[in-house]
Amino acid sequence: MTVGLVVVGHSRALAHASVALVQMMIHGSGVPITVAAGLDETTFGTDATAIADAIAAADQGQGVVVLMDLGSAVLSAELALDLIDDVVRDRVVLCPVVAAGNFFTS
Amino acid sequence: MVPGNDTVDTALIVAWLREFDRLTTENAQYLTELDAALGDADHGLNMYRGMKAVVAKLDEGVAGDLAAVCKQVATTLISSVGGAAGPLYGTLFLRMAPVLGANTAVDATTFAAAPRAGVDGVVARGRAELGDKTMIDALVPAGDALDAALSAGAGLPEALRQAADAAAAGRDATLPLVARKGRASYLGERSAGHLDPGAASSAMLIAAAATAAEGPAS
Repeated sequence: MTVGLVVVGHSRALAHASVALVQMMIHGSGVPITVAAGLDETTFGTDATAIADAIAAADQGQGVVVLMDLGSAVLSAELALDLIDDVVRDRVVLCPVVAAGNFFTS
Repeated sequence: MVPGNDTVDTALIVAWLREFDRLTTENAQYLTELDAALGDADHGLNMYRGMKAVVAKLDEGVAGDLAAVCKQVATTLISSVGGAAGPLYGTLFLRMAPVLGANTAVDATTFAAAPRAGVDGVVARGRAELGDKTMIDALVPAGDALDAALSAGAGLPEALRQAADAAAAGRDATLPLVARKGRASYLGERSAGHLDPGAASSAMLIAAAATAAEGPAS
């Protein structure tokens, strides 16, 4: 079991592309990575309920690091912490990064 | 809702939300234009999308107590607005829920504590202070006016109208302010001279409550 990663961004396509790139580089590591980005495939935005679900899905009991782009993604991620179990919340770290395209390169 | 009735029930909350939807629809372009000057030009579209989703849920039928209605509104806004307004308006309705509780109707004073808790939640979530040029510049004066009017013996429709006037004044007072929160703060001094779009939509939220409490025009 490892720490899980949640990628939060405004664009679902951008977030999935970033994760695909990383999966190629860390193949077989077993690190759970989930995505909560965009309102749907094409609508930009963040959704705290989707982030809460993504945290639960990435959590293996070892903690979760939430990477989000700046702005409203931070507010949504903080609201997501209000929506999850207390036990899980205690092992979640929020980590704002510059922008979705820079998740793993900055 | 009978004009002058001081009870807040599910029907009044629904009427409030439908009126807010009407205002955000009518003013979507206006809100987006305000946001174009200060932010990323999506506030009107985001509020339009969020309130259309709320109304779609209401159209499916309103079930449960006041807390359940507020939670449903909160969840819908959180999932459908997209921008910062989603978690902020979502927090407002989420924090109203426990105050209203498992009741289907409350008196005006009990009701007034709910938006107060909601606004406190928005302040905490946004970590904004009065004068930062945000939605709380409209919401906090509205809450103060609502409490003051009810304490002075005004009926709920009159108290909410005074709250709406205070929210509008708070919105207008954001014009000369330099933004200290959100994307608008990146503009620094250049943010002065524009109304804050969040304060503008917040003033609509309170105006919608007053209109709903006044009941259908005779």
